[in-house]
Amino acid sequence: MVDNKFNILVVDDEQDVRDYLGRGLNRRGYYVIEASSAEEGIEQVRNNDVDLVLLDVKLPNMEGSDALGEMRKIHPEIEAIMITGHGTIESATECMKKGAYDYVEKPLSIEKIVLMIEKALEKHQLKEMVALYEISKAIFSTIEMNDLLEIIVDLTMRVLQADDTSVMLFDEQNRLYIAISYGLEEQIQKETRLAVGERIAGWAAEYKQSLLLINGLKNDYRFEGVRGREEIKSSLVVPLLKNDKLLGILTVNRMRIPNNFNKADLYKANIFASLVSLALDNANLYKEFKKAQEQVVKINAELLSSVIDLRKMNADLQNSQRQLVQSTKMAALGRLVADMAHEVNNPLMIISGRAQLSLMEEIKNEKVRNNIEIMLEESLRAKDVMQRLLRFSRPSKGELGRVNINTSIAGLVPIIKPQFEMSGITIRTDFSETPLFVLIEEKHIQEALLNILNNAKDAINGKGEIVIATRAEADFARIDIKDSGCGMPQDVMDRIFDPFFTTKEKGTGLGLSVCYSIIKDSNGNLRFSSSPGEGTTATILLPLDDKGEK
Amino acid sequence: MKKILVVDDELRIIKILEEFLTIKGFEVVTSLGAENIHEILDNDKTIDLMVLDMKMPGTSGMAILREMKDKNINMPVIIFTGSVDIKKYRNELKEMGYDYLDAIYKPVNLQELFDKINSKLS
Repeated sequence: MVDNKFNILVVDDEQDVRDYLGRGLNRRGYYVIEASSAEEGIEQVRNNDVDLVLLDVKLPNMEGSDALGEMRKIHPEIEAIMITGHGTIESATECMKKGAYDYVEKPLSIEKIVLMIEKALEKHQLKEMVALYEISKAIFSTIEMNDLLEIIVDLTMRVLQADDTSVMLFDEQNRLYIAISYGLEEQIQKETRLAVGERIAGWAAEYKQSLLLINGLKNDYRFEGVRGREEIKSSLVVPLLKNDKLLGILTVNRMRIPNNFNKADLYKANIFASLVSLALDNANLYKEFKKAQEQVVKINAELLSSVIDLRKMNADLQNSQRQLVQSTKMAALGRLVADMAHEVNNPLMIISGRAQLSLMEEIKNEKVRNNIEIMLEESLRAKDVMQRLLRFSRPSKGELGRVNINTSIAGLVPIIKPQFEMSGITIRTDFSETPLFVLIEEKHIQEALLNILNNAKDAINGKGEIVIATRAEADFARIDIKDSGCGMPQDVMDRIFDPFFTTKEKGTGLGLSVCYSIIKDSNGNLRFSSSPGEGTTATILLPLDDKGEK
Repeated sequence: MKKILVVDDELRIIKILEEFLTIKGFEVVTSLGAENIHEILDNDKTIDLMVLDMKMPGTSGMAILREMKDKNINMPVIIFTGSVDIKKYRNELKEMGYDYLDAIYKPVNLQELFDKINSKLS
């Protein structure tokens, strides 16, 4: 439809009628093709892009309605206006049933006919627009590439009426491959790879021009030497262009469908291709967007996991720092205490010694005697404190034994149980299934456990429960002593191992200091987790002794 | 009468032990620190038992024990100490025939000391 002119076929056996219409329509800018018989008219429809046919209802060898039927088989959207003489109105209405737009009666008036033609073509264009609208709607109904390709193939088959079709896109090596096809052999579909310039699709890609090929390639100088598929009668090869950027090639072939593609089909294919290109471009953008989005999600997740790692590292670091401060503090205190012990114990010896000697005398004054007794008692108390301090600074290293910590705890619990139960506290044990052998001085560890259990008892202060659980954890035996007591705030936790630090009225503040030393001395670790109102868990880690018999 | 040698670097402690052990019927000789220990050990072969302080300036209790070993002087020794330092010598003490766990710590219950002396002498 070059120059926006329409092709009009006039089929009438009367030369005068043909001349009259030919001249009249030519003058008004239409291309006119003439045919004197139904057969000739059908042939013209096959070979030309006829938009509208003016068809005599009475032709020598064929009824007009039959001729229209044949033409419609070739060109389903062809518009028809029937020409009738006297007494042939019925035939004309028959044709209307078969899809003719209208009819005119002889004698003919060119003005009237032109008006009718314009209206018919308007309707024709409207029909095409509606079809185009429907196609756009379908094509833009999805943005997912795979769904889109399915829709494209489906629409192509329907709109362009083909026996097979394929959409070729570019792979990563910039070669054309068949992204989707209908009616193609699987091998062709899978194996076809074309460089730009190679074969027909390659040609269309190189020159960004669409092709209408009829009766194969034999007579086309552009494809000399290219062997096409013999069975193909006509083809449309259309580049899919978006702003001059080549996205792929759309190809449709006819083999069995009797009539060939014509220029109208090519025109239609071009419009269709521009819609397809737009949709493909959208789908590509969407694909890239989704890829970017996935990347963002992935980066986000990685970031989150880094943050979690960092937090954990930070917590570990804080923990190590706290332990370092703790052990440094303990070491310094230990040295101080050891030096102090010697200096304090000698005067204590003298005070208590003198008191003891005095009490060996006969003392008449009861008051004096009482005073001396108190001095002795208090010096012994001071001795006791010094002794515990020394234990903390340098727990004596006795003989180490290979002890199953479960057995050791199981032995300790019955001894303290009655006393705890009298205060309303139950003790529950939850031992590991396998024995946990550690190399320790058993009575020291038991002393430490006892200390912690007593603290738990004091923290509960009434009814409650203490759970002693043991587990193997990496290379350590882990003992958790959990109480349902009052818990402690962080500032208490920070000082819990400091000698003389106590929250109890009658405490010496040495219990946990000694525990700490004992456990550290066994190359283990002691830590507490607690918060006010939620109880406290003391966790002891002792290195498992995997040497010796299992 | 059994003879007991008391070695300590604090005169007041020596005096307490001297008084107490005398009351308990022992003959007591004393050395303030290692001051006259060599003389006593070399000349007096009648000493039955020694109460020995460990931490003393100059010659320590350990040094005295080593010297006694060198000179092949054998007698029961009660280690009398103000600190728990001696555990670091436990192997050496063991070799010399002493048990570090047998030590008596200051300040001591005098009756306890008396019982220990009696058990060593019996």
